[in-house]
Amino acid sequence: MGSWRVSVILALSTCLFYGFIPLAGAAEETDVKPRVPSNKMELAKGMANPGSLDKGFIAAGKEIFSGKGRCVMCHGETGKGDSPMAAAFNPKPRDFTNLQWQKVRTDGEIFWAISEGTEYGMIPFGGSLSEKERWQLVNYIREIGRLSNPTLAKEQNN
Amino acid sequence: MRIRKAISAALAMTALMFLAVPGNIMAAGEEKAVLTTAPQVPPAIKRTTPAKVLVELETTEVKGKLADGVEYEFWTFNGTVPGPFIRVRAGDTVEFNLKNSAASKNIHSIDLHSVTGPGGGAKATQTIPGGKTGFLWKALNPGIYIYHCATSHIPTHIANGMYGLILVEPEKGLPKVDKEYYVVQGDFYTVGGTGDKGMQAFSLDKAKAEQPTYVKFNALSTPGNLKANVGEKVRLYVGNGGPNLTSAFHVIGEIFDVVYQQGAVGSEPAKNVQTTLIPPGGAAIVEFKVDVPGAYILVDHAIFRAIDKGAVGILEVTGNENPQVFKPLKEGGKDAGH
Ligand code: HEC
Ligand SMILES: [Cu+2]
Repeated sequence: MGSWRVSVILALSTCLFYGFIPLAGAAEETDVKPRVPSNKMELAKGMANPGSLDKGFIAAGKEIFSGKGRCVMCHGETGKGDSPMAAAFNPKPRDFTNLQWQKVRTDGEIFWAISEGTEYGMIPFGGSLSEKERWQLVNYIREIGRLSNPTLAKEQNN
Repeated sequence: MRIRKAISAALAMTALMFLAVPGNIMAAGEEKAVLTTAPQVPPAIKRTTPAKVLVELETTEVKGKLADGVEYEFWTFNGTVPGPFIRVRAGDTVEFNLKNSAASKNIHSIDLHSVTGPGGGAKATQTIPGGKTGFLWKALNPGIYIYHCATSHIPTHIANGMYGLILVEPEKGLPKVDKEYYVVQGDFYTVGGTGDKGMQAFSLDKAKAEQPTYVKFNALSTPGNLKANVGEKVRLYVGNGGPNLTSAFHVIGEIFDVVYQQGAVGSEPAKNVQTTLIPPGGAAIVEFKVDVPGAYILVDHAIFRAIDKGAVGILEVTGNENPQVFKPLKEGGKDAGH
């Protein structure tokens, strides 16, 4: 049953691929399986974050998050993925305070998701936001993780 | 000698005309597509060669009237529902630009069903408020196609009115008619019940249950009836934005002489059709000659939608009575046979 469902979902996403169709029931809220296609994973993981822990990047990312990028419309003011709009999505817009997610994702994978979108409803912003702006967002999303998870902050600030 | 001079003068004149009259240099250059608001349709394309055509649409979020006393925040292309009618010719290369108004709250985009390429343009056009995106595509297949926003949550964007029609004319054009009109059906979902007054919010629950509170033709467009004169051939480009309902499109008191079912221009059209099915994300072309004056009512013949939820439009036909085709009988037929 489980594998039947997975193969239907795979078939659907290959046939109808828009890059970002939310497929109902495709994943649980806590599902952190990779969003980057396997043939692009090496590329994504290899990307270097040009502004890790950089205060300027974080501040600029915050500005875009609630401003022109409209990330707040879905991910909410606090990045918990609890905006009014979130109700329409399954899976929900990612909760950036989630420790497990923050730990498994590399910076490059987050950059990839912002640029290319995911097949579960994240919008691709590659055509609308510059590369620098997307890295600023990555670093703000990391900051959200650190602010809500003190252990993470300790690890990363080392 | 004189003849040769005359010929070369004529040739020079022709060359000049080619340079001076824009219509003649289109193949080499670019032209801007004529866009119209429903129910109007841009004029037929006169060109006989492909061109590069520029199309620019702007997505906006605007308050408007959904029914008498009922306001709704529509999400639109160019401020109307449906968005503009776009007309190009098979073989054209289209440079498509999408602007998203700085006043928008949401990201928007476009998927044109006439496009061959990823997402019909959706991936290339995810546009932030105040932003602009674009892509180039070649119109390979003639037909009448829906375009719609494809930004997640896609069903919500469509339910709020983000759709319209694009016609890719076959190279030889469509047969000549006297009047052309543009009609798109859409189903709407409000938190309040049908007829509840005031500003109404979108109901995700009703949309998921596929229980619309309103079903409309040209929900937010130029008001007024479609018009034709007795004896004229009328062509309607009828689309269905959905998001959920399949339309049983019918014009009360008329029979469609010709229907390009599912918008399949190039296929043998169906003849003598009473009601034609138009699925969400689909369109059809119907043609009929109007023989008798009167008001002809466009409906979705799933008839509760027409009578109770608003899916009606009017084609007003004026001209001389045509008793050979239709004549009411007074007093139970006393004057029959006179
Ligand atoms: C219209 C709603 C919407 C908007 C606006 C939106 N997102 Fe998302 N986002 C989602 C959804 C839904 C998901 C969950 C998709 C998934 O699980 O693959 C998501 C997931 C993500 C992820 C996690 C992907 C992963 O690897 O798990 C990141 C990072 C992200 N969004 C960043 C952003 C940023 C940055 C912006 C603003 C520039 C933004 N989002 C705007 C809906 C949205
Ligand atoms: Cu939209």
